[in-house]
Amino acid sequence: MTAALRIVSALLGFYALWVAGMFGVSLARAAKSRTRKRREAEIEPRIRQLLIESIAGSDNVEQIRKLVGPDHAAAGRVLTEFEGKVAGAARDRLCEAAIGLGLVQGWVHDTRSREPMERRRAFKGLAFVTSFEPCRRLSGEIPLLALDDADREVRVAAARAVLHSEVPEQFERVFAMAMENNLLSRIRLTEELRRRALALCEGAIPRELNGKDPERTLVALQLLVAWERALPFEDLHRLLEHRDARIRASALGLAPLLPPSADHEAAILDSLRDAAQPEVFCAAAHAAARMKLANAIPLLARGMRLGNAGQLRAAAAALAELPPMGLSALSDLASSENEATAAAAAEALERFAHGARLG
Amino acid sequence: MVVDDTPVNLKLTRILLVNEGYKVMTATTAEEALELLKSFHPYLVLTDIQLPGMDGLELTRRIRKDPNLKDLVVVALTAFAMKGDEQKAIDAGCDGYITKPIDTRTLGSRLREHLARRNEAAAAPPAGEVAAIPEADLQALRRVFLAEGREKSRQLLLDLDGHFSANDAAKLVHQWVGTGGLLGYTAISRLAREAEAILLDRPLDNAQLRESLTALALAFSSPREARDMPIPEYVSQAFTGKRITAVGLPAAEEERLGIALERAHGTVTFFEAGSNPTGEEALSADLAVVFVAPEVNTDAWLEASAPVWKRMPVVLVGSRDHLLALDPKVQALAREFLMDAWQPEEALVRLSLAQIEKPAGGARPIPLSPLGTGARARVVIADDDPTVRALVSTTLKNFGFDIETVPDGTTALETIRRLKPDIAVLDVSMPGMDGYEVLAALRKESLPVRVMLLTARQQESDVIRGFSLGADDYVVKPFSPMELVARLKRLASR
Repeated sequence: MTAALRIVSALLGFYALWVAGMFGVSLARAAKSRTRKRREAEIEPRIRQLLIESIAGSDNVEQIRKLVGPDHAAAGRVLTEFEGKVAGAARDRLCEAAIGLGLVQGWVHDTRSREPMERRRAFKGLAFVTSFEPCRRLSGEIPLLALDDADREVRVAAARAVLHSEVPEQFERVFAMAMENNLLSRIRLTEELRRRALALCEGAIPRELNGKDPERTLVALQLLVAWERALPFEDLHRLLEHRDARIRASALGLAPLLPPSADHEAAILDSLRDAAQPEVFCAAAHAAARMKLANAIPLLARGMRLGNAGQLRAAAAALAELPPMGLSALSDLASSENEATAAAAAEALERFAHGARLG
Repeated sequence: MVVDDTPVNLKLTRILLVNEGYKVMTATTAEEALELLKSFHPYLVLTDIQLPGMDGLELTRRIRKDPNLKDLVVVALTAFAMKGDEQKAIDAGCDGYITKPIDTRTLGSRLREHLARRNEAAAAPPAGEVAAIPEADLQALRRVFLAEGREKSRQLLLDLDGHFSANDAAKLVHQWVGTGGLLGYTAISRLAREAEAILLDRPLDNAQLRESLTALALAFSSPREARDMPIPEYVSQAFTGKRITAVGLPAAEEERLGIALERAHGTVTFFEAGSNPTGEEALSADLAVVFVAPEVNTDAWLEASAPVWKRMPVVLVGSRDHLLALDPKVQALAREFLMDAWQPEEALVRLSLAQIEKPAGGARPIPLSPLGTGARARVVIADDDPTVRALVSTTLKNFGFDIETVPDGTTALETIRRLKPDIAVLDVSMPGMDGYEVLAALRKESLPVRVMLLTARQQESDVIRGFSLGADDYVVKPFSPMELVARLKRLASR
């Protein structure tokens, strides 16, 4: 009995010691982490300022290196804060600094890390610096290979890095990836893909728009409309007459971005005649306004008498964009017996007057 | 007649001159040229100085000695890295020299000038448009040049660890100086010139050479980046026919500035640090560039009473610390600064900006600020992002603006009402009032402030809204700080 008690108490003692040890370790880790965070909070503004001075021309990579010591994470974090803020030679200087600080080499190494956050940070860093050719050479094919990564964050960052390359086939891969990924990933890649729009118009975009899968066509159209830029695309007329109303509506959003054509104009007028499809009517009204189609005014006025609330607002806004005849039509409609029509017309006129006062 | 031992140079120069209407014969060595000159009598000989066997200088001397060839115009092709080449060329009897890399846009006109000087203008074809090289020819030459350059530069790097002949390497990189420039790869040309200078220096600095050759190999591998940005028309215009006085610049900076200005058709005259600050030669220029460093004796130029300040705009060059240590009065007199590791493109932009407010009479006091009123332009920067605030304010401070930064729209409006700045730089998406609301409030109150919107919003409707609310300019993020400065300077000088 005494021996058994002794064993139990010894076991309990070991257990207590183990718990105390673990507690101590976690306390030490927390303290270390706090110290690191405090230090980073202290040095990050100084790193930021040094990087800004480096953009302005100072050669202070050595100074930054001394400041950050062996842990480069803070420098990497501050450097990637400049994403979306600087362009041109200033961005190149930051990328040069990233090479000088060994950040690019570190990121390349971390792309193989088993720690997901570390990998994401590494790809985010590479996505920033690969706009600079020497950094692209250092990162090699890593971004391209990561386009099929299981981690969505890594995929998006890798896609952004790949879009810095000069290889059209690689843009097409990213475009295809964006088409297959969810809406959020697409939104995040829209701007980068926009810069490669002309190259994509050579093959990938016509292929998707002329494909048989209406869902993919719709997604491609949404991307193109989001780009808001002129595109060399010749087959829009077919999409303006597509049997799927969603595709027709999206294609109408693209029409003002293409060179004017009689086919497009006719398709817009047809869509305005068909008040049964509110989504299509609204898109056509918007397109007519942007393309300044004066011959759409009677159809817009008709839409204001027959359409639902959404169509009323869209038609009124379009008429306000087509002075002087559009405004004259709105004045007439403001005294309509139909209250909704009169209210929408009056509101559009008021908006126009407000804009004119500010302008 | 064109004499050059580099086949690409020879071919390209030939194409250029043929397109200008000249009949061209070529030779790859001086001996071959002399042989040809026995049977043909060209109006002009354009010869590289460095040739295998007999060099270009000896060729010139022999031409001058030959009574049948005395009337020939001889123009030497010289490399900037070779100190004194120009003088040697003139001493040997050359009528002039053209520095490599050749500017393909002006080669024809420069040769016409030389011919005209020797009363041979009649022999030259009428001045036409700038010579155009067929794109296919140019592309083929570029491909060959890059492929060979890649291979040979890598081989040089490998040889560095074993059997390496500096003289042979110098000859090779010398060819790249000219060819790179001719083909539009002026960055390669510049790097080759640096490598050549290192290769000709004794004792050979292996570490520096390795660094230089690595940069060169990288430039050959990334031709797009290796080609210099084209110089914008407005920058070229700012320098065409202008004379620039540069005082006290160290050799490396002298070279960089010289090359940059040559590309922009400016003429620069370099003066020693201790040169006379009242000398008429130096003071008759359109712009002065003065180097600032304690070890360089440019003090006499940097006194506020020095005549240079009243005669022309002055740009100060040096490290940030040295420039900041200057007397604030002198700082305020300087029209622009070139700090630390400045790039040639930046130098051209700053030097051209420095000339914007040049007084017509020359003796009028130079305005101190971008506003041209004697006061420094005051700018309020409103952005909720601390990185953008720091970036914009540091950049603008370097260009002589007075800066006030605020983190939100409401504070921005209050600060603008209180300080009445010359310019407000507003982000659109800010907490409290957004940039559009601040702008609308400013215009409603008729505050005399010029407003630039600096925002990531780039949709057509956003831009139109900004301008319709009364913005004077609209810059989309990500932005180039240099472009921002140029736009603000223009706004400030309105």
